[in-house]
This record gives sequence, structure tokens and C-alpha cells, in this order.
Amino acid sequence: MQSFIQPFNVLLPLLYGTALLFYVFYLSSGSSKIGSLGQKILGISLLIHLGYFIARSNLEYFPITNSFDSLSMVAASIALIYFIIERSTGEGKTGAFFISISFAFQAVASMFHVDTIQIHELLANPVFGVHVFLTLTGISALAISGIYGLMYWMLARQIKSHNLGIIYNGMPPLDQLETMGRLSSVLGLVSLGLGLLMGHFYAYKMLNTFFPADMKIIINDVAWLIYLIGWIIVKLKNYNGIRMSKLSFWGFIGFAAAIMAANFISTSFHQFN
Amino acid sequence: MSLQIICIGWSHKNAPIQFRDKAALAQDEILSFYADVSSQDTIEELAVISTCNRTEFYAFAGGGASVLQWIESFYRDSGSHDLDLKEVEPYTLAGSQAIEQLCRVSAGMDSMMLGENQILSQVKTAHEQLLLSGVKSPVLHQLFRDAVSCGKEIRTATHLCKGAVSISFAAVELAKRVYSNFIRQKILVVGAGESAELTIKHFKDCGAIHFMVANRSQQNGKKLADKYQASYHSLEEIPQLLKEADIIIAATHSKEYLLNLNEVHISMDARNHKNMLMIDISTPRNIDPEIHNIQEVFLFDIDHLEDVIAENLEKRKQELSSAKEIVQKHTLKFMGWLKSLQVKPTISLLNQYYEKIRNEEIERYRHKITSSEMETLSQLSKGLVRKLLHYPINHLKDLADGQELDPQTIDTIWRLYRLEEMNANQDERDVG
Repeated sequence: MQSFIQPFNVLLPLLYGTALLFYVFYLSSGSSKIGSLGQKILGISLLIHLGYFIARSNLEYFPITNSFDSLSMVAASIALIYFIIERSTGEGKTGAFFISISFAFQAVASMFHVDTIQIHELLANPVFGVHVFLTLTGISALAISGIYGLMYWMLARQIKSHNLGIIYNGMPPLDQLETMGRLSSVLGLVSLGLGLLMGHFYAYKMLNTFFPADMKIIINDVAWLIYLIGWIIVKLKNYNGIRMSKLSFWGFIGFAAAIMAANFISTSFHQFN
Repeated sequence: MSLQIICIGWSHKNAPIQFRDKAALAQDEILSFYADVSSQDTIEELAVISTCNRTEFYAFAGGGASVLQWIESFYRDSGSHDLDLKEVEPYTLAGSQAIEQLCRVSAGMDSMMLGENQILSQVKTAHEQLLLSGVKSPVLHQLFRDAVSCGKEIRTATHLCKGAVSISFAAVELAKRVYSNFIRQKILVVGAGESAELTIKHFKDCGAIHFMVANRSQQNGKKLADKYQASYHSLEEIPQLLKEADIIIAATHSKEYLLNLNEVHISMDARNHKNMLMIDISTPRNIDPEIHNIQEVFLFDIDHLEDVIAENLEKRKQELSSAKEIVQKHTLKFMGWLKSLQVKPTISLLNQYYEKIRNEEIERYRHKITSSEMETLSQLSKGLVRKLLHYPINHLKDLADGQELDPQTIDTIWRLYRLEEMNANQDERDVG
């Protein structure tokens, strides 16, 4: 199936680029027709991306054989999370921002695509593959939630300062940004939680222990747990508005710092064997 | 004299409000004079737009003088309008300028508040009145149809009508940046005057349903509250109301602050620091400006709203050139259509042109041949002219029937045969 890869490498950046163009036009014109077309093209892009992963994997291993494959996976995760958020809230004004990230990542992934595949033995296991996919999607969703928090913060500041400029005109209303951020954080927590859980199952299968003494795993688990506890407190205390947006943003920054620290400590795949 | 579109009127641009009030026409008056117009020889068709800012007569007639004469006699005879037309000279526009004027009016380009939206529905109403009258007015029907579609196109293709340009509407626009809809939002309106009511009306139009009215005078407050299914509260209840209100509009003439920092601080804890939008459209201000320092409060006063309006008006002005292009496009389209209607006069003038040549040629032989030979020659020439014109005329008729007649074609024919000259001579003869 590797012979199908080249057309995908052209098609995917083109599709994400087209979706991005529609979202940019939607942002400037406000035409709902254009916005809906953008969403449709994004949906098609995601389906084609799925096709790419199938072609890339030959249905035998998980398709992240090098860093550019990973980049493509992150592009798809961001697009998927954004797609779900837009479908749920009906708000497409932030599409241009998130799809530009997907487009940039996919363009780089396609441009530097490497045909030769070096398959790490872990990738041949479907449980590990799903674990990686869910974890990446979860982290992307938390990042999106953090960005929504930042957008809220910026817009609120602009409204408060009575300086009604570009941000004011180009963003959805504050309550909508808050809803999108909340939804994204839920998606992130669930996806990442499931991803980590699958990782633990895989560890159990390989090492006969649910909690291997691996710093990367420990840091990720703790970071997720802290985020979850924070999320529950926010829910119980009914935090909202600017306080909530700041928490979302700093929560993700903290989480990202933890992951980076984990990667600094352990740069390879988890040291199971 | 050839017929053309004429516009005669008074608007905020050339007449003071006292005059405009007197010139304004009620719907029944308009309907009554349509029948009267149809019996006129000099005016083929007539329609009128009458709003608080303008009374404009649109006619399909031979010239402006006859229309103005009719308007004068109409006002004179009506008895209900104490109007001296010599007091303010109306503007008179003809041809493309008159067509352009209706397009501009329909788009809100000629309105007191540039790009206002209400005028489009007023133009539509004027068109409906014309249709209701039952008087045949094919040219003006088409003109109004085109003007309305021009107004719509300008509203969708440009930003001429975008952005709030009134204080109450600017308040709603601001609220839309904080709340995506107003269905769940509780709106507290302090005051029961005209501004307060207008703001409630705008919020209601945008989907708001939960209103609370707080006012010093119970009678006025309750009256407004009842009108909009709101609850009435005294001013003393405001601190309590702050705990649940999401949007607060202050619109009173009170000389002191009705909402102070401490009250809002206390309410913030009770409402879990939920956002609160405060809009103070009172002069002097009714909301303590210090409240702005509370993180979750977005406070705007009338100066901020006026800045928003000024900015929006400036943006609208920048759209004028694009709007003008659309007006020109629609004007040209209508003129083309009008020209295509001239197929009948064209055929008639073509016949006259050939008849004139035929007569002139035959006259040259009148004294050289006998009267019976003259008769034969006349028959022959008539047959020739008929046959020469048969196909061109039939073709023109077919084009017109199939609405495929290009104004360019008519233009070319008029230029080829110098029909303009012929038409002018005929007009002179008619006047004589």
C-alpha cells in the first residue's frame, strides 16, 4: 500500500489548505455558507487522513515510524478535536487558527516524508498504537483547551479596555469560547485518560506490572491526575469566566512543562524491555 | 416627447422637518391618487415613497414640469396639507439620475443615518402600495423591483449597513461579544424612559426573554415591565438583583450613582464571579466608574458607545464607493431594460423613416408621369418598403418577445437611421 502514499502527501496539505482558506474567508466575510463548506472540507480531509494512515501502516503496525509521521498524527489529532468542537458548538470562527496549525504540520510531514520504514517492535502491537493515538489526541485537546483559555483572556482584556480591535471582531463571544474550552478539556481528559490506561494495560502485558518504574509514565500519570483534580475542583466550585480561562491556560502550560520534563528524562520509547 | 423616469421630492437634505411633516402622505391618500394619475395624459405612471425623512414621487412621464404641476395641484386640492411648495423647492431628477436615486434610497445611501435598514422595507411598502392600487405601472414596478434588489445586494455584498449606529443598538452589539445569545441571560434595566424601552426592544428582538425593570416611579416602571413581560422592582432592590442579573442597562436621569462599587463587589461573591456586562447610557452616569476595576465586570458608558458608533459610521462611509458601483450596475441594467421597451417606437420610427424616403422619391416624379403611373409607382414603392422592412421588423419583435433584445441593438438601429432626429422632429410636430 506504500505506493498510494505519494498522492496522499500531495492531497492532504491541499485539503487542509483549502479548508483553511474557507475558514479564513468565513472569518472575514461571516458567510455561514462558506463556514459550512470549510467544515465539510475539513471532514473530508480527516477521512482522507484516515486513508493515509491505513495506507502507511499496511494495517500491520501503527503509522508513526518517524518524527514526520508523528507530526502528521498531531495534525490529524488537532483537526479531529477541532472538528468535534465545531460540530458540537456550531461555532467556526476559531477554525482558521487551529486548521492553520494542522495545515502547517501536515505540510511539513508531507514535504519531508520518508519512504523507508523502520518499525519499532512496539508499533506492531495494536494496543500500543491505540494508546499512542489516544494520548496524542488527548494532549492536543488539552492544548486546544489552553489556547481557548488564552483567547478568552485576550478577548476579555480587550473588551475591558474598550479597545474593540481585530481580536474583538474576529473571535466568538466570551461564553462561546468558554464552552469550547470546557468541551476541549473534557475531550482531552477522557482521551488522555484512556490512552494512559491502555498504556498501563500494555505494561502489564509486557512487564506483568500496571505501574512500571518509568519516569516518563510516572510524570504523565501525575500530570494527568493533577489536571483531573483541578478540573473537578473547577466543576465543584463552579468556576467560570476569566478565572476559568486563566486556569485552562496555566493548567496546560503546567501540563506541557511536565511532559517536556518527562521527555527530557526519557527521550526514547518507554523503557519496557 | 419621449417618456423617462422622473423623481421629484423633498428629503432631510433639502427640507426642514416642519415641511417634511406637512408633505408626508398617509397610505390611504397614496392609494386614492393612483387612480387619479391613471387618467392623466402627461403622466404614464406614478409612485410615491413617503417616510418621516422623505416624500419622493417617481413618475414615468414626458417631463418633470408636468409631474411637478400635478404634485402642486394634488397638494392644493387635497385640503389636508397646509403646504406651500414655493417654500422649499423640490429636487427634480430625470433619467439615469432618477433611477440611481431610488437605488440609493433603497440601499440607505441617501438616509439621514447612512446605511439604515428600515428604508428598504419602506421602499418595499411603497412598491406594494403601487401593486395594491391595481393601476397598470409596468415600468415603475420594474424600477422598484430593481431598486429593492439593489438595496439587498448592497446589504449583502458590502458592509454599508453593518455595525450599530444607535446607542441602544450599540449596547446590544456589545452584549453579543460577551454572550452568544440572550435566551438564558437576565437583563436588568434601570429606568423606564424612552432609551430604556428602546434598549429592551432591541434585546428582545435579539432573543432576550428575562427582563427586570427597576425604576423610581412605580407607575412608569410597571407600565414598561408589563409591556415586555418583565418583573418590576424598586431601586432599593438593585443590590439583590445584581446577584442574578447578567446584563445591566442604566438609563435614567438620576444625578447620583444608582450602582456602587461595594454593592457589585458583594454580588460578585454571591454569583460565583460570573461575568457581568454593565452599560450606562445615562447622563450623568448612574454606574460608579470604579466598578470597572472588578475583573469580571465589563462596564461601558455612553462615551464608549458613541466611540463605537463613530467607528461604525466611518466604516460605513468607506463602503460607499463599493455601494456606488452596485447602484450604477443596477441603474444601467434598468436603463437597458427600459430601452428594450422602446422596440415599438423604434419600429414606428423605422416605418416613418422609410415612408419619408419613399415620399421624397415619388415626389420627384410627380410632374414627370401621369397620375395613374404615379399610383402604380406609389403601390410599387409601398410594396418594396414593406418587403424591405418585413424581416428586420419581425426579427426585432421576436427579440423583444423573447426578452433577448439587447439595448445595444436598439442603439445601433437608432444611430444607423438617425432615428433620434426623426423622433425629435416628431416631438416638435406633436407639441406644435
